[in-house]
Amino acid sequence: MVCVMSLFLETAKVLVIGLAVALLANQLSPKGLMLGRDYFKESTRPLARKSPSEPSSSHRVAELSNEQVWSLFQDPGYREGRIVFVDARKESFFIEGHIPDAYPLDRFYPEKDLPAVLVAGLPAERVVVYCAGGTCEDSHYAALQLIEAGLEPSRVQVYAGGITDWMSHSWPMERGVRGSGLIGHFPP
Amino acid sequence: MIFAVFPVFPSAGRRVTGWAARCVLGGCFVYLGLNKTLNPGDFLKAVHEYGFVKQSLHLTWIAAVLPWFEVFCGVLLLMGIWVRGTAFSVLGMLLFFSALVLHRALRLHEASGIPFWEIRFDCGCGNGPVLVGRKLVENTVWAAVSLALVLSRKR
Repeated sequence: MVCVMSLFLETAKVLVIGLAVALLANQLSPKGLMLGRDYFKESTRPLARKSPSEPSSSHRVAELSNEQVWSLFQDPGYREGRIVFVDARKESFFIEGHIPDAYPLDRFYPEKDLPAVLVAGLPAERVVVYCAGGTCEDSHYAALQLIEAGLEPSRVQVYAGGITDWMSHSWPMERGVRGSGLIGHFPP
Repeated sequence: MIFAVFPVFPSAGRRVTGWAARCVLGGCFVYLGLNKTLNPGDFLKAVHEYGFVKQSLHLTWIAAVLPWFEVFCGVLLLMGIWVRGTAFSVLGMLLFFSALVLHRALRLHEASGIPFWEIRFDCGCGNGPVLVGRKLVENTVWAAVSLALVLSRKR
């Protein structure tokens, strides 16, 4: 009986002190999560419709096919900054390879990249957000972050196929930071 | 040689085994916990995939605290502090995580028809996508080690 009591007492000590240490460590860690932030928050603003006949979705941003994305990429407006691409994957993946001239925006740490994306995105006619593709939802949540930050919802769209689809077509990629000039056709 | 020593010092064998068990278990928890703390966004997404927490703010708290708590437990085991209480906490976590992984794997198995032992996903365990069957066997071994530490005599 005494043995069981001492076990529970010891476990309680581990739990209480452990949770306090864990909270402190998260706060001190540069990679720590913001405890008050809802990382899966849906938009409170009305979003774009895919077509005039479709009702506005409450939490899904309009999606673009790969043909639409490719034609936007080739549009002169892309070079002029009227069309902006945003990469919503984490920084290490961005460095490995991204759509040329895309802006990085890690949605878990938006403070770092959001100002630059807003400067480019606010005057732009179209903002295309992508992530890995497939089941990845980071592009949707990053798009919602941009809309919450002030971008016009009808101008923000998601490239559903993401970088996986882009690479499967052997379309050009840029390695390193944005504007590094290290552009090539990397195999999928 | 080892077998020759144990009968002379019957408690020495247990001590060595206990020391090895808590070092391996503690080291494993420190390693996997640190992996999660380095990529908390990935861990948050993995926890979200389970769909067992409806309030996403609660998810944030779980993803922020759990990896560091695992590291804390690992360090306690390595240092030999509050071993039984820590092992009991670790046992509770392992049983809870295994139940979640099993539940999700069964759902995937039913939905996709993929043989259970071939189901592979990122369980949020700290080492990327894994074969679920292998992970469950691994967790069972760790749970047995934890239970042995819980039941070990307090010195």
